[in-house]
Amino acid sequence: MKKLFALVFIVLFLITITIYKYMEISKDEAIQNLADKTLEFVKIANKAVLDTYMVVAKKDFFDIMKNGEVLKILSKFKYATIDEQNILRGELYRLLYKDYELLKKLNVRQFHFHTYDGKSLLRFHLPYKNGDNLMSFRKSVKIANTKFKPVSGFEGGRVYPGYRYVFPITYDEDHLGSVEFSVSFEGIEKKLKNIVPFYGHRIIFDKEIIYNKIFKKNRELFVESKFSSDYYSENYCISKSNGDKEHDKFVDKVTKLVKDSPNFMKKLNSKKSFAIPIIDNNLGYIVTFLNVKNIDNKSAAYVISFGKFQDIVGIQQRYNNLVFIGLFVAIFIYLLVITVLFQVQKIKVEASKLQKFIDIQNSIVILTNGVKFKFANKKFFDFFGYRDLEYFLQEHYCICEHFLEMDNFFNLSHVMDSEDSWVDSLLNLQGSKRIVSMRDKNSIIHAFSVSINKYDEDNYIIDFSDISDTMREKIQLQEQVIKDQLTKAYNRVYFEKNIDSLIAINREKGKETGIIFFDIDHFKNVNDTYGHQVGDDVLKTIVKIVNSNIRDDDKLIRWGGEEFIIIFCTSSIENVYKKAEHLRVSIEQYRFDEVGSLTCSFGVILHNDSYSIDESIKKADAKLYEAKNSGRNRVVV
Amino acid sequence: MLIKKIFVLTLCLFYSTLVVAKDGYTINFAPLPTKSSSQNVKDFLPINQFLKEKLSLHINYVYKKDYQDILDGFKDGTIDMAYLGPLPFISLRKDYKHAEPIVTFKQSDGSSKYRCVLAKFKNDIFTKDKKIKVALTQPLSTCGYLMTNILLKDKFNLDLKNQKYKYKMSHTNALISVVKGEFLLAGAKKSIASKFKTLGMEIIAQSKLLPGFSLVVNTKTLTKKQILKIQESLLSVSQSEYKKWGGISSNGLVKAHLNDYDSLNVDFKIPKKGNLK
Repeated sequence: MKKLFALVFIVLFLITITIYKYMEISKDEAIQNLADKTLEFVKIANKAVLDTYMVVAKKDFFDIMKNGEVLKILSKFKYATIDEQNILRGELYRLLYKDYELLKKLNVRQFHFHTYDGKSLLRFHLPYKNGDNLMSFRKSVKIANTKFKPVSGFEGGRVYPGYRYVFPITYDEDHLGSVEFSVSFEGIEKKLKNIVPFYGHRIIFDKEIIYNKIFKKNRELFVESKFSSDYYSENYCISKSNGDKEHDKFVDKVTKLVKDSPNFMKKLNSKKSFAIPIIDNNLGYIVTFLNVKNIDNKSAAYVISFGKFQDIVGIQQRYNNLVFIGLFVAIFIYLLVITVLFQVQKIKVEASKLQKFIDIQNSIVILTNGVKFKFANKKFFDFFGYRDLEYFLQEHYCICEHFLEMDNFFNLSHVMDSEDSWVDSLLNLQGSKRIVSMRDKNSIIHAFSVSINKYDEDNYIIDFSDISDTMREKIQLQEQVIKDQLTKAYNRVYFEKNIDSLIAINREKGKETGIIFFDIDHFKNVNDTYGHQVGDDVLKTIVKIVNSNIRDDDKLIRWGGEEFIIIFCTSSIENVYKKAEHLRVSIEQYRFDEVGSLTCSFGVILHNDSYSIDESIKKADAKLYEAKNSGRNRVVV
Repeated sequence: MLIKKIFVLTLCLFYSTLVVAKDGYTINFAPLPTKSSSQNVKDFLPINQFLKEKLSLHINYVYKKDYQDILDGFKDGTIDMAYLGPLPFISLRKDYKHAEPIVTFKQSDGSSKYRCVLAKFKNDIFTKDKKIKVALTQPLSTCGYLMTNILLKDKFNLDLKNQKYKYKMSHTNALISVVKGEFLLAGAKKSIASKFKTLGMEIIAQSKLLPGFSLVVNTKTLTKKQILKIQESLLSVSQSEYKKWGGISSNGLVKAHLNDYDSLNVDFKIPKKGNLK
């Protein structure tokens, strides 16, 4: 029992663990889904911001292209001397600095004109710094001035990386150079903050793609990122000098949590956008890493957005509640199963005790509702020679099949149509008349007094007490009446009394009644040659041979002299023939003490209900006659 | 007896904490107010690193919005060291004798001295017929009111107080305002004004050589020993090392002397505000 309880516990434990794991995975997926949606939101917002700047840049570019004075200065610049170029540069600055002031208000950090050959013409953010060649490391400038196509996207630079919008300038079919509008991440962040409800946004730059291209003297503006040495961010000291200390505390805290999160470095090194949800001290955070590709479509930076998301704590809480309920249900089921098992075990013990109690009874005890046989004690199986009830039921449907038709004994022929079953019929009898006779496994007849007790609403406990000793004389007398005294085969009295019930039982089983009529060939010669004693021995031996080759339920009847009939349950004439042929061969092969070998002739038929049994016997006899006439030692169907 | 012992030990501990705090080499340093904080960090980062490694001295930046605040900081003891041009130093020395220059930063030409200039956009016409508009750096900037006034008087016989002038708070701002066309002239340091040649700016007058920018210490808040150590350390650096430092230190440092400033006499009052709105 303890083993069973342990087994149930282990099975339930494994199921619970499996469900718990499934819930954990589902919870993580739900939280990750929210984080991924947040990332999508950041992506869309970021794109919206960049598109807005594209509109600003385009508008300003078109203004420039409509400004005749600007185009005139640029046209002259292309073909001017150095001194003239300096003055033209100053004039261009004087002409457009107010536009730059406006652009600065829109967070455009760089407003930069390039010459037709890709040199810096005028940086409005650093006007005295010009003339340096940008072609080699600024792909956007190269494309604009060699392919004359507008270019936009994230790009590194010698001073500061940013989002660039570069437009080629052509006037009167003369390529004059290009103009660039660059937006720093500060500008992007300001706008992002208005759209996305995050605490803050940061950018980290790829060391190889961005940081290594910055002028060495400008690298002090950057420090190694706290996320990875492969990335750089703005110098914390410089940012700190601008304030925002509290903000950085939050970012520092979340940064540490992100770094400790599983697979973070793998995700970062994948150079793809990802989101990390974190729950710490009942506070929820989502940090999104939006991968930024540069104009060469190489991963150049990550825009990192830090946000508080209490919703993920709510999701976790809901799943935790479900897990708690699941655990509670598991415990409840366990207790329920244990209780059921305990009760089953208790019933089994009780049933075992009852079985033991019933088994030690001397009488046969059965449980039945009169139709269905449900239980029998050990005595029952010992008596009939069956291993268990299942084996018994394979051949019989009821103990009542074994009730012998004997005078003063109850049998199935006594059951009236008004009675539901043989049990009802017995109950309708006086107690002293409830007596049945049955053959044991050794074909010995026993007499039983039957007592019937109500077990429950439908069933009866029926006790068959063996009263053979007191009924012995009566039984023996009965035996003598129905059996041939020489061969101990049934006689014609038995046949007359039982043939109808035998046929009825077969019919109820949905089977046919087979009839084998046989006699011993040249038996007269045996008597004449070896004497009657030998003839009697031959008859006894024949009965012995046949009984050993037929079933217990098959009835061998001595019909008269050397003639015998076998009545049995069968399904077809082929089976009847086979049985007869088998008997014929068995007898033919037997060696009798005095006589040596003998043969028998067989006539076989299936009883047909449209004829009387006598007519059937006559038909079988006719077939036997046919066998005799056709040479004996054969079976005729 | 025990209480007395504890009292004495506590006193010793308190005193030693003070000494350590002082010898812990944390000094308050005021960089140029005309430059952005990020530029200042950049400019002084190599010097800071050097002093930290050599003397375990930590520099704490004290950002002041103008020279007057720096001078006030010296006086009230909240500033131990500052990076000052000659005029702010002279102004400071006038009222506060505990300010002393220790090292002067060399120019790109190797000299520790520099010039102030007057610059204008080439295409703009300079006429004395009407009042001219002049862009200045800061009241206490050497190349501001002081040298601009001197140059105008010496070269063009104009008195600044009779012109329209405004403080643009930095040399670059003053020069850019001329490029923009907001002012006719700008007074600025020559090295800075030269960068604006590519924007069509021309230098129309320049001063004699002036003492360069120096690190000035507050002898009231720092001990002689500390000052000497800082001075000797900074001067012990090789020229190649200075070059590696880059920025304002790339040309090297020389020992500063008080008498370098004798040639600068400020015999007039410098207005603290411009006369142009």
